[in-house]
Amino acid sequence: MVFEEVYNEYVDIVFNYLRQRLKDSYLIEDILQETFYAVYRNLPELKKKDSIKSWILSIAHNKMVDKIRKVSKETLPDLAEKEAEPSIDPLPESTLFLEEILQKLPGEDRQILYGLYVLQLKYSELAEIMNLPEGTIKSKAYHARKELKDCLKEGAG
Amino acid sequence: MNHVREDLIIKYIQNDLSVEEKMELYDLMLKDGGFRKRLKEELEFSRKLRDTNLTLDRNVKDRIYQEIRLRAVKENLARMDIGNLVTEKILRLFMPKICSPLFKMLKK
Repeated sequence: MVFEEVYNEYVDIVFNYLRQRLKDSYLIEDILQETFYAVYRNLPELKKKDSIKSWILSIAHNKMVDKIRKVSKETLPDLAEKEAEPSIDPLPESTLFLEEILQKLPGEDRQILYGLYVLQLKYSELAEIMNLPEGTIKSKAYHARKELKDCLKEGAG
Repeated sequence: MNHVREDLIIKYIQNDLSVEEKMELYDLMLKDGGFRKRLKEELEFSRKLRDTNLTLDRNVKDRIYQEIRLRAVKENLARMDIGNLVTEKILRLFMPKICSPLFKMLKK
């Protein structure tokens, strides 16, 4: 597979995955660049991977964790939760409500739900990507879904 | 609803059910109204969550791509320079003096 194809196919997936946790578009852009540069350099490894998506997402996740750690040390502790920058297109009105509710959940839980429902990742894949035990992912997903359901009920009521 | 049933729904959404699990799911759908309602909610939630997907701005996408290519080229050049320098040093040390005009010519 040529790098350009991999990039075009997965850049939006990684972008949306990172967006569940980070709100600063510059930080997201930076991590996207780091991630795909690592992909570019390790392109021959691609053939050995069962799931390209999980492989790329685990690179992105590790880069994200490193970046958050680094940024926190550099006197900007709340950068990860900074408001969204205007370079990202706004969401349509209809999905704003859900987006608003999702923001009430911890970033890690949002990533788990996004991974399960949208990226269709298995619990085991998510566990590998996020460096967490599969049981933890399951339990977090269960509680996040429950919390979200309660919020949606409140919102509807 | 217990974890097993929740897992079944997730697997259904991910189209990852085994034959046995499919049978179990259909059985639950037929017999359990609560499960049917939950499945419907989960499918709706999944659809809504997909709608929150954004597309990265084309300009940003292109910029990141160009920066990666540029970085790769720079790194290759840097690696080549180091390689050339090392080769040159070794050749200068070990080649007989008589070869030095030839070396200069090759360098040109």
